[in-house]
Formats: sequence, structure tokens, C-alpha cells
Amino acid sequence: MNSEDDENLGALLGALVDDRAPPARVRSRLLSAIEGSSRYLPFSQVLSRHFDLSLEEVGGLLRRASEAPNWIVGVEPVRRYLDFRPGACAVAPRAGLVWLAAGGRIPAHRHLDPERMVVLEGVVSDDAGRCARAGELLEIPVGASHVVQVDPAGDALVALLHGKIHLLGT
Amino acid sequence: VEDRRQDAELMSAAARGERDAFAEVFDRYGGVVYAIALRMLRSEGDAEDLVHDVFLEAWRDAARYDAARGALRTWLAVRTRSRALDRLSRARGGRHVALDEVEDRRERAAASTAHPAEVLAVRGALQVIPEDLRVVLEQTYFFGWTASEIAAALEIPLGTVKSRLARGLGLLRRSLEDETNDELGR
Repeated sequence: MNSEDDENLGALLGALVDDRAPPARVRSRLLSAIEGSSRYLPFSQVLSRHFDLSLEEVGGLLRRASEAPNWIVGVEPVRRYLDFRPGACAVAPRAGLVWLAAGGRIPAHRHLDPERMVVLEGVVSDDAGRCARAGELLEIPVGASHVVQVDPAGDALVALLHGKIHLLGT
Repeated sequence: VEDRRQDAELMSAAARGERDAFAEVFDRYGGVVYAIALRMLRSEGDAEDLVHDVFLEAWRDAARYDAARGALRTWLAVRTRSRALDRLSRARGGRHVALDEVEDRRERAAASTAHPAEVLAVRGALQVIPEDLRVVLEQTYFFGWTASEIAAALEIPLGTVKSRLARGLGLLRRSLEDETNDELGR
């Protein structure tokens, strides 16, 4: 069916039934899911695209991320991280989910490989004027140098596709 | 128009991971999704599970919702029907029989793919068809029941279901033709 057929069928279906409120437990269950293991599902498409993963692989990654023992404690501003393998066609060889501390700062560094950062929670910016909120992408080209800053309003969770960097100072 | 604009904003916010916005989507359309699920699956437990699955899928796919292509209510209704048909098919052992007992498939296709201006006409035409025939038509064409399932649910012979379906389709066709003629005569 095309989208017009869908629209018509949906309109008919909606017209043929009288709305009936589902039990409150249905709402509670849904909200519990989107607060927990399914919290980052809306970013499945963007993660799939930039990390060259299938939606099923992204789903598996997000399930892993919902279990605390899968995370490794990091060094500030990295609170914790979870490495994963990107697809073969991703623009960089390594990937990870990283929780960054609110107000945290990653000192000046130069990228020897391209980097992509999808923000899943919080706000991340850099001194080159780039800024990304939840669902948005920061794209850093090879050779670029910058300092990364996490918004002080809250911790940030990012999915990072990266290669080698060269630290420039503090 | 205002509702559709608000729906688009809510789904955009959901696509950014804003859970409060998606809770409002549920509050707006949980009722229609649950009603369709119940009508198709006939089990409150199964319907509740389906509502959960449909909204979780909508949460995942929020960024793909395009208000310019249709209302959120219908987007969710179509997904609900599709997922319910999947469940019915699995329950029947993977056999896709939702509509295969219908004798006139062309009629089914016509009924389920009405043009926008015909949606209300089809709904109106259904309302003037006697209830015993209308129930069989709606359950077959829109809610995925087989003639056998309708026969079991209504406790009537299979042959009666098929004859009601044939009579109902005939009445529906004539009713729509009458409405079309009325429109042309104006």
C-alpha cells in the first residue's frame, strides 16, 4: 500500500472504533520502558546510519548499554564507557558509548582520523563553534583541533566513532 | 490543522528523546490504538501487549513520522492493524488467512483503499447496512478476522457468514453508488 492508502485505511479504522482508554498499567509499562532499556531507541536510525550498524545491531547495543555491569569506569571527564565494534563501512575504526561529566572538558587535541559524535543525552560543544544536543551529530574532520566542553546542566551521553588523536596540551 | 501541528511538534520532541512529549502522544492516541487492538485480538491482555509494542515502535520511529503525509492518529492506526495482523497470523500458525476466505478480493481491495473523499462515504454507507451484515464486513475487511473466526465468535454457521458478507458487499456497493449519483445530481 502507498502512503495515501495507509492514510485512508487508518482514517477508516479510526472511524470504525470508539476510543477506549487502555488500563493505567499500559501507560506505566510504556513509560517505564522509555525511561529504562528503551530510552535511546529514538536514536536508532541515526546510530545505524553513522556507525554502519543494522537496526537489530543498534538494538543489541542499546540493550547492552542498559545493563550497568557492561560499562567501564573512566577517568574524568569520562564517567564511564562501553566500547563496541562499528560496521565495516564506518568512517573510523573504533566506537564507544561514553558518559561525560556535566561541565567536563576534554583538553585540546588534533584528530588524525575523522570523528563522529552522536549526542544521546545532554549538550556537547567545542571551541570551534560546533554544538550538538540529543539526536544531533558533531562531525570532526581529519586535522581539526579543538577543546570539547560538556554543558554544565547535566551529564552527556555520546556515541563516539573515532580513531587516533594527538593531545596538544591541557 | 492545529492538532496535526501539535502532533508534529510532539513527535519531533520524541525524536529528540523527550519522554514527556511521547507520554502526551500516548495520552492522545492510546485510546484509538487500544480500541483497534481489542477489536482485532479480542483479548485484553493481548491488546495491552500490542499497545505497548505499537507505541514502543512509534517511539523508535518518531523521527520518521511526517505530518505532511498523514495524521498521527491514522499513522498509529495503520501500525496497530499491521502488528495485530502479524499476531493473528502467528496465532494461526503463520498462515496468512486474514482475508483469504473473502470471495471477492477486488471488492476487498476497493474497500480498504478508498480515496480520501470516500472515507466518510464508506463510513456513512456502512452505518446504513443492517448490523448483522455490517459486523461481518468490518471484521473481515478492516480487522482481519477470517470467516471461520467470525462464525465461531457469533456462533453462526460458516455459510451464514459468507452469505452475510456477500449481501453486505452488495448493499455497500449500491449505497456508495447511490451516494455518488447523489453527488453527481447536485
